[in-house]
Amino acid sequence: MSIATPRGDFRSAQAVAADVREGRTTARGEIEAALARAQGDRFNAYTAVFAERALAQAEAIDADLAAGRPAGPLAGVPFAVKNLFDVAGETTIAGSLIRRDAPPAAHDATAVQRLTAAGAVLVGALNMDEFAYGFVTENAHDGPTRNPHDPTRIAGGSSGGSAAAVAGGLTPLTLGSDTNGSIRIPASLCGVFGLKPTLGRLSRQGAFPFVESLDHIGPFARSVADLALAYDLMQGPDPLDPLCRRPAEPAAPRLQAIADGSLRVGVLGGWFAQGAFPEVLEALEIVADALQARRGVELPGAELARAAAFCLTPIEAAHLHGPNLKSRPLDYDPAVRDRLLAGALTPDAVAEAARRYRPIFRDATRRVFEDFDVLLAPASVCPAPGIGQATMEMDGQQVSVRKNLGAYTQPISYIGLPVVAAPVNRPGKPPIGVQIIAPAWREDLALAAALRLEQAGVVAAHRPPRLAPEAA
Amino acid sequence: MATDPALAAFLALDDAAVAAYADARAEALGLTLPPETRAGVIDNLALLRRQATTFAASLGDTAPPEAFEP
Repeated sequence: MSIATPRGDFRSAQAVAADVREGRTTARGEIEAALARAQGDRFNAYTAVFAERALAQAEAIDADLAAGRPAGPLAGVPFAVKNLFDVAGETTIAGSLIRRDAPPAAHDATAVQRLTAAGAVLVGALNMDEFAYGFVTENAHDGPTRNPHDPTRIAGGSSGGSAAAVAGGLTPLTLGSDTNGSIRIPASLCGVFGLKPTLGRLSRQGAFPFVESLDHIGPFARSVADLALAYDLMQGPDPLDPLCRRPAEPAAPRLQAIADGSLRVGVLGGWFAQGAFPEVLEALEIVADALQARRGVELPGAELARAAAFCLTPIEAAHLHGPNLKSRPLDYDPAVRDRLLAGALTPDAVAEAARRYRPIFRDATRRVFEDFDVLLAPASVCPAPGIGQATMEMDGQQVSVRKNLGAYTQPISYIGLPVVAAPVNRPGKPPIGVQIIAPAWREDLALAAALRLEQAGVVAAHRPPRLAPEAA
Repeated sequence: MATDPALAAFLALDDAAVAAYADARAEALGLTLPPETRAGVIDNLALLRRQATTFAASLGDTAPPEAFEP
């Protein structure tokens, strides 16, 4: 087993952990290779590499293993985080110019602490849309992240670096955040798995906020098992995040039993079928067939929910950015700045109305889930657009790429439901993902449906064409 | 039908009135709109207004605010 070729490494996180644990490689060797891949990153996924910290932890893990001490289920596995997560001693830039002179973080974010405690080794920070406001990761300060499947195309956003690093063979596990679709869309466009858990399930402490009412964090990985393990390791209450109060409910041990049982699956129609590119609907049909899903399920009010999320986002975010919008507006990425300024000018009563619509849509969705365990929908309206592409055609009209990529994700995050973004296995074709949506707090159902699909070969992480097969 | 006066006034704008509304709001908030931002801000504000009309119209007076739980 080679640790990696210079072109990349497409092993799962748990395969890396097994290689280290069983002595085929060492943590130091794995981390040196991951650092080399980060430094040779051709996708502009990384914005910082933490070599000293990573090598010190790797040596400690090797010492623990040599002495027979437990080193954690992810011992020696490299991971990286969207650059809005606090990393002790590093400045949390959140994709911005404005925060480059902020003081370094005093502590790791809770999610980083929990993965580190499980033996995973943080190797770097990853590119994103400024302040997580976008679906494209064409960052004005750090440049665009390139899609590993076609470097002329975007990786999606706002966690574009997180998806590209996993898809491009740079690291098997990353963290991102999702406020309106920022895990699900890049996972879909890059052909990897992503999990947006229930709102409040994973601690957001130490993740630079965007829209506190809607912010989630979650993992990206190359397999459902890795996604579930990382999710389980990050679960549990955190007194530093008032939303994160629920006891840990490990999903991984239960997935196979759920996957082998009966699942009632529906495919969302209506809003979730409008404007989708034909290949997106074809991919969704493949998944729907495999799960024997009932078609054309209506989620009443989805279009209004999308509109409410669309309005709530800049108004709430503008409050966080008020002082900087007044004193240094031209230091923002123009694509973000104009939307934040518009949010600042919009009456707070609009945000209040958007919050009041939330329980109405949640209750309507709960009624739909009385007949289903999971619901399917496209993750994005199209495969990855080109870098710099401003518009695309939807239903015969030219529309903004930036404003429409999240059409199918925003209604779901608006009410905080858990979703697995799963890459449909379409060899030789651009990656397309589906959303597997579960009722609140039932991440296990979405993960189990994804596992069933993965075991049937219907969904799979896509290996980019330039990654050498022998690196698997 | 929005009963909050600020919400009702915002929803009642037409797109042609959004620019003047933006200037007045910016002045009231002490916010300067640099020239290179103005067109983009007005476009975005008009879009927010159009979107807001959709869900605000469905609320009525019976939907109280709540501490949201998924």
